[in-house]
Amino acid sequence: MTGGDFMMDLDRKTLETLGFYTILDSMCISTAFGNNLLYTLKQITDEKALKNEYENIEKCLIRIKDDKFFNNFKDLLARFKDIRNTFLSCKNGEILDEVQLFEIKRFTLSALDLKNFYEESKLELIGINLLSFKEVYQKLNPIKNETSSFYIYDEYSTKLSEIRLKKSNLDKIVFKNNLEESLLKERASLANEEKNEEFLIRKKLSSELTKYMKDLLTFTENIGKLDLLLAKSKLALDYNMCHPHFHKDKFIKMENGIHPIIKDKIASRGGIFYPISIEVNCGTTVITGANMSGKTVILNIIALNYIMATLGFFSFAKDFQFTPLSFICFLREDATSLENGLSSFGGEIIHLKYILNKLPNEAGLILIDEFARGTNPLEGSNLSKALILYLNRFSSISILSTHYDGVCTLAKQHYQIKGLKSVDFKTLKNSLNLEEDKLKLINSLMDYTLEKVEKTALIPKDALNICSLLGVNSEFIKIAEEIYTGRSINEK
Amino acid sequence: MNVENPLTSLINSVCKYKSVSIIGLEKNTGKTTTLNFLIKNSKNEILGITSIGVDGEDKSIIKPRIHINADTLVATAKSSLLQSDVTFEILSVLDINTPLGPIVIARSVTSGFVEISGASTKNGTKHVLNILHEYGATLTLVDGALSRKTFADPCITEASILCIGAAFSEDINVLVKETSKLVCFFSIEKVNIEIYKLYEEIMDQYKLAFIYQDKVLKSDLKTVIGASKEIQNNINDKLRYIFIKGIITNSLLEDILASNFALNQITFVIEDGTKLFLNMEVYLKFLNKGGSLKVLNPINIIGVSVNPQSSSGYCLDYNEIEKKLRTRIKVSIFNVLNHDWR
Repeated sequence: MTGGDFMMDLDRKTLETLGFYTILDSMCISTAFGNNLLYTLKQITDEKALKNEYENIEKCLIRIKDDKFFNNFKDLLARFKDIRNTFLSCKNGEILDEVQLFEIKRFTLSALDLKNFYEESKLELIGINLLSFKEVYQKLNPIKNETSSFYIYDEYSTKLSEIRLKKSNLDKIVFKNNLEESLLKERASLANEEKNEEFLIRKKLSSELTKYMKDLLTFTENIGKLDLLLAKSKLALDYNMCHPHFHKDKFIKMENGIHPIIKDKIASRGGIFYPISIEVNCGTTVITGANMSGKTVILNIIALNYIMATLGFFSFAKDFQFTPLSFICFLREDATSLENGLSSFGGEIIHLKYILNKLPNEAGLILIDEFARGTNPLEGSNLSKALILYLNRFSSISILSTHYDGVCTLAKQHYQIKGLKSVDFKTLKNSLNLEEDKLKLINSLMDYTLEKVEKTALIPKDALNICSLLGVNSEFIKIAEEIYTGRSINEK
Repeated sequence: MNVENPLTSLINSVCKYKSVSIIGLEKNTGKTTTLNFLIKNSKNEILGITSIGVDGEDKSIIKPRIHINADTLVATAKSSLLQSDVTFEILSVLDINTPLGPIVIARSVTSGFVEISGASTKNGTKHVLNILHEYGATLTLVDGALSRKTFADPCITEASILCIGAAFSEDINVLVKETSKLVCFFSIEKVNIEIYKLYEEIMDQYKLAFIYQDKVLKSDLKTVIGASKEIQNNINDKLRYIFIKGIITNSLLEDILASNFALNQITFVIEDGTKLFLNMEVYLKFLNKGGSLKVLNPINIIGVSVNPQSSSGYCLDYNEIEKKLRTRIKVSIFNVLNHDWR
């Protein structure tokens, strides 16, 4: 795997693991045009454009709190059928058939309704411009009453009305006379004339409509944008998302950030989800914590919220400040390299090589989850230290999670997951008896919040405590304790 | 003009319903002629016309060209619509797709011929019927099909007219026998509402189920063909209903009868009369042995249309057909070739 080819250098697999697509799939999109935009999202690099997008979401957010408004808007959007192919055919000079002409007529009526609704709403969104297609409607509605139906009206040509009159007069006789041969022949020839005249009318209509097709296609883009905006603001409303703000330096600050999918899962199990607050600049920040303390989840939350902000969504946080960067890379345990026969370490290194090559030329966001976890601890620790020192030299923002000791002193900042820090294991051990109760308790006592600590702070060592609490053989615990003590004596 | 009465009574009974299907056992049994006749004589109604299409491209089925008057609502595939010489006001394009394009709802501005090719699924046709009524149709005629290949569902409409003719058989006795058998099968008694609901609930996923006084047993069989052994294995004193989703053949019933189990406490429940591929003799034998059969959906046959002319040009004696049929069935019978129709 040589890094991403998809979005901002993130590949599909990573985005899937982040739950990004699950979030997209949950959004309420009403049109094919909105759907297209949703699944071809690109990073918005222009700051002004990003600001405008946030503004637009803000405006929609306020209005859609009114359920009725939201539903009316969605229903209006849902009326539009995807007839872009018809628009393209007409633009290319093809002659349209009656059904296509009908669909264009109906589109223009819905367009008029949407334009009226939008103007009355006074949303005044930036970048949305809805044109009127009254002229197109009138060309397709020569009978001048307010219909959405269509046929090749008599009004289009006197020759046509004459032919039709002859044919209908003939019809009255033909069927009374038991379908006499000569009458049928005459009827067939009139029918032919009629079809020919209708063809000429269709040809003329199609060529008259050609010049409107570009604007009609642009209108579909506007429908898509409205649809997407509506969906983004609904998402923001449902998850209490925040309006991201820019910061001039290379910087990301997240206050009470969450991952909505993980939060929902935990809530359904009856647990509590701890929002994450963190502030990072260029160079490296290290995140440490005991096993199972949620280091990966934290990286996921940072990545997800950054991605949302940079794509022009709100973020799942109370506050989110950031600088748009040119790429985001996420180095994590990678299943594909295992599939390709490489060891997981081999896969990591190839990905790392790709990241390091980018560093001199671009500033990005780099997230690395437990680098070199698969190698022996000494080498893993040394390589991690080297990586941190190297990354400090560049203007990219790097966040590494690790469980190797001594590595954090080299980073610019150190954050730690509180974990079981404040738990009194001795009293705990005596209270409960059942194993599953103990596990449940450990889980509930785990504090997943992040706190900034001194660079020299040691990595929590809760593993042995957990063994002891769970009632692992006491002889084994004793031996382990001796080793631990011996080690800490050596450390001092 | 002594055929006026049955025809008038037929039109009257057709107009009582909101939807009527015209079903024929074979091609050339006079479906199109019957349809055209009904169209011509339903002047007080706002007509809707559609057909139950055929899955896949069966090229042997030529879509009939039906003659309609102005202000008739149709639901047909796009290319059929555009080929017609009728001027159609297009009202809506549905999301139902067919090999001939999406289904279009339109109203005729002029009269003329149109080819009707409708939705090919039961749900599609139901949806189409609803839409036609929404656009104002007071009576919708559905050009149905009833052949072993298509399993089209006559129960979607409120009533049906069965079209038979020499094209099916040039032997009057065979023709009469087959017709009266069908009318009998189609009018088999309906189950009560509790059993109806139970069937719908269970048979969504299964093809065969046994309902006892105290329990329900669902079979893993994927088809009812050849299920006689399984059925026999599950008969006991407490069995009250056997739910079957699929076709009941002669051999199935014969096997069950041969096993000599007591059948008089058991009711067989099937979807409708089109699922019986049986000879009358076997059915009667089954009934005589105490067997009982009920359906979810009886088919309301309000008339039988006879086409005495076969495709080879040979013409049967209509009066004889009518006389023989009269002794066996009660519904209106009429001659499609009666020139008063045209």
